[in-house]
Amino acid sequence: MSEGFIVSGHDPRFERTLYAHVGRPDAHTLDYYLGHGGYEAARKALASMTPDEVIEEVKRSGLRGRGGAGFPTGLKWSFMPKDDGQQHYIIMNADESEPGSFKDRYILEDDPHQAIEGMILAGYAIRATKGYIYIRGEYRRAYDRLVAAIEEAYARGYLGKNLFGSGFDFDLYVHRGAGAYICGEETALMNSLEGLRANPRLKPPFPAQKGLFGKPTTINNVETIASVVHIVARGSDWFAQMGYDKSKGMKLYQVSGPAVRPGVYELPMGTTFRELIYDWAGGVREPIKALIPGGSSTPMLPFNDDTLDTPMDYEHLAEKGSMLGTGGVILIPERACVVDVIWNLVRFYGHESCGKCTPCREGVAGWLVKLLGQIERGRGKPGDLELIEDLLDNIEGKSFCPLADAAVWPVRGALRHFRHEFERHIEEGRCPLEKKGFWG
Amino acid sequence: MGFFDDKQDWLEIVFRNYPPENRRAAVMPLLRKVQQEEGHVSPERIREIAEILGTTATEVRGVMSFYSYYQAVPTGKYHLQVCATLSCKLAGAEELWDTLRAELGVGPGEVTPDGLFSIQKVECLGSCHTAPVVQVNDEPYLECMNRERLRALLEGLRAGKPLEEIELPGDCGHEVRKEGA
Amino acid sequence: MPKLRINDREIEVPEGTSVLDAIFHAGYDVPYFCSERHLSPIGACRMCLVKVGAPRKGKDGDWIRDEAGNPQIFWFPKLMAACTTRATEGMVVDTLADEVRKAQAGMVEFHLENHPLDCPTCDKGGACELQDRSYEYGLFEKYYTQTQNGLKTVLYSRFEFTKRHADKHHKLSEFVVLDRERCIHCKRCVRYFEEIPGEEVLDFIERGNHTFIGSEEIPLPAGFSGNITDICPVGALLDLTARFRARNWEFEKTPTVDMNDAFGAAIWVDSRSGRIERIRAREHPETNQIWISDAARFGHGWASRDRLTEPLLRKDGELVPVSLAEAEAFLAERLSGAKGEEVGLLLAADATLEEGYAFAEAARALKTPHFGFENATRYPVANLPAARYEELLEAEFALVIGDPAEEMPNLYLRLQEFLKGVTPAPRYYHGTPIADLRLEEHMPRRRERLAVFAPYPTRLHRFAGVAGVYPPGSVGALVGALFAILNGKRPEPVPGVPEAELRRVAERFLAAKTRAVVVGAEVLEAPAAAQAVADLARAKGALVFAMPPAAGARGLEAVGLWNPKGRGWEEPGAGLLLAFGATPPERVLAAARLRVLALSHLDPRARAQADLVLPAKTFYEKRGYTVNAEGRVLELRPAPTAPLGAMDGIEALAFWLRGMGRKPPAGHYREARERLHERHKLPLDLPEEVAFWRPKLRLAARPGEDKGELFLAPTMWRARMLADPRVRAALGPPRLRAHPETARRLGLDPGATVEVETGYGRWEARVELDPALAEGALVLPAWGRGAGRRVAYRLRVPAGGEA
Ligand SMILES: Cc1cc2nc3c(=O)[nH]c(=O)nc-3n(C[C@H](O)[C@H](O)[C@H](O)COP(=O)(O)O)c2cc1C
Ligand code: SF4
Ligand code: SF4
Ligand code: FES
Ligand code: FES
Repeated sequence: MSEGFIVSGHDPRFERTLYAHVGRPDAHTLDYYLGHGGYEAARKALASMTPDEVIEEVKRSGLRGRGGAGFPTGLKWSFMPKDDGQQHYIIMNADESEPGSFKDRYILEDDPHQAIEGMILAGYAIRATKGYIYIRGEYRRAYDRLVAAIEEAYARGYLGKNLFGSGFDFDLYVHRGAGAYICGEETALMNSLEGLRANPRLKPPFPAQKGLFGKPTTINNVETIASVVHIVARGSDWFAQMGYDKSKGMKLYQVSGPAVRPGVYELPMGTTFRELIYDWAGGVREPIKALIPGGSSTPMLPFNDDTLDTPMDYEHLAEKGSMLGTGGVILIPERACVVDVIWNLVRFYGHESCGKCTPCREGVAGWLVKLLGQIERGRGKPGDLELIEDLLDNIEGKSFCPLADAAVWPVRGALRHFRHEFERHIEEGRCPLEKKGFWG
Repeated sequence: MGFFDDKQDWLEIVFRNYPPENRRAAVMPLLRKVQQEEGHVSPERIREIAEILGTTATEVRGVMSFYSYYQAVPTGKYHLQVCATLSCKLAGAEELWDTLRAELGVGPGEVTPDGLFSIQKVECLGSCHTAPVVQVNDEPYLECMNRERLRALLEGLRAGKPLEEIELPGDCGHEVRKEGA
Repeated sequence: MPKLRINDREIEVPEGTSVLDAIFHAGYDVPYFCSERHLSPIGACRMCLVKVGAPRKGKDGDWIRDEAGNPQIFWFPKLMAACTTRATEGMVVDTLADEVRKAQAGMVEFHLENHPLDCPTCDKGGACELQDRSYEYGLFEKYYTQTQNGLKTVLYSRFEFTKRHADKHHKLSEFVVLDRERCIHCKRCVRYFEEIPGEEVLDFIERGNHTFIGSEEIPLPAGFSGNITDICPVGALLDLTARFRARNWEFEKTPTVDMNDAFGAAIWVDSRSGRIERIRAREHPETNQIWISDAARFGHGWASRDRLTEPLLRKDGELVPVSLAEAEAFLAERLSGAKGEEVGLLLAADATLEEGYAFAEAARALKTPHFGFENATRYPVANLPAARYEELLEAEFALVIGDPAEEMPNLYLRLQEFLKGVTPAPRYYHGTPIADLRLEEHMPRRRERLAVFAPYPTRLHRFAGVAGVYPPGSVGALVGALFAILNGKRPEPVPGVPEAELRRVAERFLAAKTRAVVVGAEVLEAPAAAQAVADLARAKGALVFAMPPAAGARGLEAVGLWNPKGRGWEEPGAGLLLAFGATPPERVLAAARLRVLALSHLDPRARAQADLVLPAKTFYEKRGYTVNAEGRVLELRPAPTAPLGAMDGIEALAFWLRGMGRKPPAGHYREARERLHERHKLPLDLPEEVAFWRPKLRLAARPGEDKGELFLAPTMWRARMLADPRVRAALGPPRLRAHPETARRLGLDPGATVEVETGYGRWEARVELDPALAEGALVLPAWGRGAGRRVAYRLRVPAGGEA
């Protein structure tokens, strides 16, 4: 196991970095952080690397965005204009609202300086002297710790003017959301930050041309930016030896549902579901019939050997007709009704629809929710599934932003693997599963 | 008197977070402040915020109504938000909600007669591994909730205990991991 | 200029063209709801999805080619919204593919899902984009049919749940009503307010499926709110003045020109059974684009109420209806032996060129010094150079002295465009771009390009880099100081305006390559200031936009109705008076022996003082031409609403002259037009885009100077419009604005109702304190009479005592 790429957490070469300090007492303080090599990567980069060299290093590492879409981070950074004399902004997307995802939260709660250091590096690379962290409003502890950490960092010169004597200034601000999933979408986030309604914006112009306050902007996920700290500290080769072809580095996987130890696990990209669920999360507490591989928008897969042996990375999951997403695995127990599960998720996306475009506002939030609810309540009619599939066709790929697609995919996944459950609902006019109160 | 009249220093600090020519960017922190302290955002406050930001009340309301955190109608001293999304639902969020409704005798948008409690279903709070999750006001999450823990919570709150001092009996009933093993 | 293919047609379009415009340019159709001319494209409705492919360049910089050597087309993986996709070189667009058709049908179905389908009771029915597009692109047999009782029918929607219910009669103002159920969330109205007049008074509330249009600024400020009723693609926003008055196909639709102000906005007059029911904006790309002011739109009610339908003759002190023959006999009797120089010929401000020409010719023939038109300023606006409105968009700096939002509302909208830095759009075969990709939501306004001065804060002040308020009467000092600085001289101080501000203005003015000066009535009433503007424009090169208070001023002056000796309309002197279109001031009537008024409506002054009243046409009903503020010749066409026998100015004049036993310059409109054309060589045969008439004139200014203390602020609303209770309710009582100190000195309490009397009339006004005014300033709306002038006044507080 010690040759080739690292694709298992058991590989002795694998070392945890992103979550190395999460859960440790006082890990959120500056003293702790400094005591564990904190701000050395930023010091190194600002002292000995040009911004373009940082971008090159990130490009070489193969890091792809951890916010869900997997866009190559170095490439994204290289889109930023150079020497254009404008204010640039770097934004950390800490809106983490995709059901099943909770990895960014603990970085901010327990290791906020890691996030700050990442922001300094990213800001330096894209020539942004100002950064914003857009944190979802509900993350209260994370917010408190983050604000305290920023204060500490300012007080000791890790933020503000002339960092590490390099002449590079960097200011960091925190903006709190207030309960809207769509704010995780990068352009909606910018609107929200500007005090407008958080509808996604037109692209082009892309954020790198005209982003926050009309200025060139780059937005990255918390995990993405935190990863950069370690890429700079340990080199792109270190990062690139983890994972498969186009899926590199370590990844924060999350497990929720009836696992023995649900939680966040930092593992090499390409670790299998089996390893995650059985070795790290300790197995399952009850029979499982399906899993959602990467946050609720990714199509569910049946819980079988084939799925369990699938490496969790961008390509392998795409082959299975699903996606890596945020790496948030949700286990669906046997006792759960898939129709109910899907209805809950579509209802979620309907609730979070911003209302800007027709297929999402009327199709997802209006019609699809009603149709699925009707089937779940046993009032489905023959032809409803065909109608749903036709509606999915009329929605998918036709909306303004991917939120509507995010509602379509789970339905497609469920219909692909669990169509019989839907059919039985319609045939029997009720949910075939005995519904006991959960609390007995 | 205006809500922000005696908060000029606070406003000053908030505005420092945004470019001076983009004052309206501060609309969310201002709304949050009002929500936190008054339990809802009244039309008068909307107007006041609009004036401070140099925009219209329409714009402020447009923003405010977009988010689920800001409330147009008054909430109780303790606004209990129950996550109703998938993982929490699979872990008993519906029972939690029903229990809460029964215990408090209120529905969404209502406040208990003593002014203490109001309830709201919310979407995934980003703590699915400790489902079901409840958030009181703007405070850190209460995790792995069940009937006993809920009762203890309500009791504690009724007794006027600060949230962090209320002991919730038991635990998640399973291990929870967040550290990198 | 990218070349691309739309279905089977190759076209070439300007850089930056949207695929949507390219499709229309190629002569194909594509449905759209959210896009609208002059508004930013947002890609929200998703109706315009089409199949798009484009060639790609390889590493070598050349196109990747197929076996045949042609650039290979790579189709986008998804259908693209045509409105937000840029047309690029070699692009291929398919609007007819089956998948496109299916997407369109699906999107129509989504749009109809929550729509109430109450077309039979909807004022938009028959002129509704949703109806049209549903018929064209919805009801798609191929996908949506059902068989019931063996009968195959096409389905408009497979949605079988209860529709979303919402407020159906939500009054946004006296003029606009919102039906939330009909709204399809295209956001046109929201974008309109933010992007066009720059007032964010309408927005979406809530989100997702609950999203609805709402406002906390109810009633919507009257000024520019009505345009949303034109652009709303459905019947969600409707004109209350026309509520339930007719179905769209029952209206007689007359394309003509708004003559309430000098801008020359193009309008549709929608009438039915001889009544004007509705005014809509008519597209005129070079002038008003697709916008008009609320006054122009909603202020038509007066025209159809209480019309004079027959001549009225004073008998035993009372005006009584008489036949035209009797009126004629009366005139013949009273005018027999009349001397030409005794005759006064006065014309209303909204007169046509032909009327002006006829009156001017007649006055010349009669050799009378008593002639003129209503609201003529001291300085002839025709002396000032005129620039095209579109040229404003090319300026880098604009100096405004006046209140464009009220004086020429459409120019205000042009100034807003200028602030956004938008230049005139290209024209396509289908006209104005529907999805102009240069426009964006929330475009920053370039405040540094604008300086505004007025005797009170105007709507424009908020948008200006330099904005000042000077005391009424100081406009001459302001202009003088500014121009002294521009000429490197020391300026005299201007009250209320720091010299540093003026220096900033001068600096920016000089730094700008192209600059514009916009001046209003107040400047035109101060000849020295107006002359300074004319000189400046000549010496330093500046585009001038003058906003005369009389709609027809430029043309009327140029055809010879300029009367430098005395104020024709306001100066008593004529013994025998013919006034057309409006009633001259009391003192003018009082001084005459014979008072003949040709009016569409009887007003109190006419009732008290006229000897003979002839029924007259309103400007809505006239045929003729006018010259607008930019010197463009525009054609008026008559709406079929004039009572039988109502005269235009030419006919009234002929009637009068026949009474005098003289031959009129023209017996009727056509003759007047021919004569006018012969004399002035008007470009009547040219299309309006290029039909300019800007004779170089150096008319003498009229002497005189205002001495009063009450400033009459220009308003888009005219006194005659107040005959409509809806307008009165919308506007409320006139506001008498005073600096707090001034109010204290005059004993005026804020909110108190006082009676204000000026030479122009008597108003019950409400006192309002405005610390932004200069100390000593008192400002009252002019409502179309004496705008920009300072007049003497008398105040009476309701208790009865003189204030
Ligand atoms: C509806 C929607 C919600 C999203 N939510 C999040 C989120 O909560 N957090 C996040 O990091 N990215 C989210 N994204 C992805 C962002 O738009 C963006 O791609 C990402 O922040 C880029 O960062 P990355 O390149 O580091 O992944 C969301 C995207 C969509 C369409
Ligand atoms: S798909 Fe459309 S309605 Fe849904 S969130 Fe995106 S932009 Fe808003
Ligand atoms: S009211 Fe009319 S213009 Fe406004 S969003 Fe609705 S449909 Fe569009
Ligand atoms: S589903 Fe409740 S916290 Fe995620
Ligand atoms: S999406 Fe509405 S016109 Fe293109």
